[in-house]
Amino acid sequence: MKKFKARLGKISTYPKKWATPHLLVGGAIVLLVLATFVSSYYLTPYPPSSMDIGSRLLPPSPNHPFGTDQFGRDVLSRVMVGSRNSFAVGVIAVGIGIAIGVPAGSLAAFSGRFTDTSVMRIIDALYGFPPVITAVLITSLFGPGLVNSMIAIGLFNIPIFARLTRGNFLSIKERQFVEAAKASGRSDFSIITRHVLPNISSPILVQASTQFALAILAEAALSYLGLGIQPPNPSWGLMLKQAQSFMGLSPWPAIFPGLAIVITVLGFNLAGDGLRDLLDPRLARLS
Amino acid sequence: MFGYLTRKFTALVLTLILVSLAIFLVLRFLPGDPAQLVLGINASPESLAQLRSELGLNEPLHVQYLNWMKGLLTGNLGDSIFYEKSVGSLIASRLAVTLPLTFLATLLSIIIALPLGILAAINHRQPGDFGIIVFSQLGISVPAFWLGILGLLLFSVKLNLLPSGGFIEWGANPLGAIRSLTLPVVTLAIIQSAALTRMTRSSALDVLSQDYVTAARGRGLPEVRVLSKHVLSNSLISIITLIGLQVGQLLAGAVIVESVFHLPGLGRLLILAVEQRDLQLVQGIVTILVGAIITINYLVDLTYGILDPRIRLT
Repeated sequence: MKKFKARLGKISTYPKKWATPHLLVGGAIVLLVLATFVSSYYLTPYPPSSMDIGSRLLPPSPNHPFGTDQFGRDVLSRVMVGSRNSFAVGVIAVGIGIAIGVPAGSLAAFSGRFTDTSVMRIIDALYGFPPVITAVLITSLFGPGLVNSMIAIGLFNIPIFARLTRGNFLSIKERQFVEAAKASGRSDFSIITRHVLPNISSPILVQASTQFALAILAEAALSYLGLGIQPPNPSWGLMLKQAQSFMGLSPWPAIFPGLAIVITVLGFNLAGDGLRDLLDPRLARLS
Repeated sequence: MFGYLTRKFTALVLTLILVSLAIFLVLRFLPGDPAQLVLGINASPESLAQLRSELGLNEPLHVQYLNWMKGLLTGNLGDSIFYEKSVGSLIASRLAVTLPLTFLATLLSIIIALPLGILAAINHRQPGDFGIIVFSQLGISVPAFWLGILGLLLFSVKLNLLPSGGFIEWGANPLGAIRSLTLPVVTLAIIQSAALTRMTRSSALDVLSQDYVTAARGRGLPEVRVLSKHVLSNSLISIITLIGLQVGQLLAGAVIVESVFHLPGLGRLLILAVEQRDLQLVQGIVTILVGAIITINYLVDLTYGILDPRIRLT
């Protein structure tokens, strides 16, 4: 135990300021996941939709390291290709949240009380909609699929970035350098883009990492419910849904797509925590 | 205090009105004619027109909205086209599954998370803390439906200890109902407790570094009293905020776990209602769920004022 404590003590005293354990482990996982994503375009062991009924529901083996599914498709190849959809949803959904939420939060914080109240009431109303319900309504309006999943998850991100931007904007707005910029006659637009937004980019970056992880979870959940990506396209959530019916015969197709989700989400969460520790030393003390 | 309550209540009412308007408008733009869906593709134009008139679909939008709001305020959510029952009774029957699921999962997650979070904080950067961090990081990264599937695989398929899905009515067999809810409750509680543990730990760490905690220890107060009276009570604001958010998420988000375990809850009813284009039912469920979530957030806001009197004055 003493040795373990000593080793843990060594881990806590970081060799370099940026190399927090969270950032190191999270960054390594994110790199691994990114490598899988890129290689899914060139290096899948089998075509992801290639069926081999004679080899259905096989356990892991050298030929099929993750086993095969109910149609004899290689689970590893499908997990690799499934990462494309997860990443696409993550990037677009977070992009929607930032593209609309940051300007909305800035507008609320910079304008007078009436605009602030009006914008924030709309944001609060949007925030009141649970993501699952928003997704159900959107996919029922426009039909299930990848693009509508992105929109549904992106909509949920808007109030999160708007609230974060507003809160940070309000505290930065009172700082002396902003007062100085005002006094020197700079335009509102210039003050916002050159002085305020660069100073609140750190919390936005950290939040983006967390929301990316959440978007991956949300996409998997939507696909599991049948509202996201449609078969035969591989998606981690959809693979789990299909595997659930056969898990009495073979548990493997229900295990590996889930592990892929956990590892990816864990990587982005840890990276987000690491970035937060790096950018906000006060919070680092609490982690 | 009165001014604080009035301000908060006005904001709640405004948000609820905005949300009800948004729900109403979104559902009016759903593709497909509800009358056609009920009567089928061979229905005559006369019968379609009559049903549309009965459903009030020919009225101008603002009249439809006002009529719906009037019904909502008097507790009449209309009738489901598909089930031919009142929306209120359908929602009530499904709440018999969703409410216990939400309540029990929340309770269990609090029972797990508060001691773990405090334990981690008082053992900061020691092996116990490290283990609890790993648990909470993994817990927030695991999708609830996958954990549910793994639970089914172990406790139903392999060990045959718990049912593999479905729900036995409370009236028919209370013990059977509890058995049906055990795995879903534990699944949800593990996921919720991970985030709550993290929040409790970081709030407690923040409080532990405050001067008044050092002073309390200096006065020789027993550690249990320091932890319960000073640390826990001062960490409560962020913990209660998260619990409030989680209850809301559970109410609506339980649909995923309800699907894994084939539970006839409110979320599953919503999915079916959307598939069947049962406009009144969708409108009723979404309004109740969103209204409940906004009201829970409002109540959480009010507890801030009770826990920290300074908040009332701002």
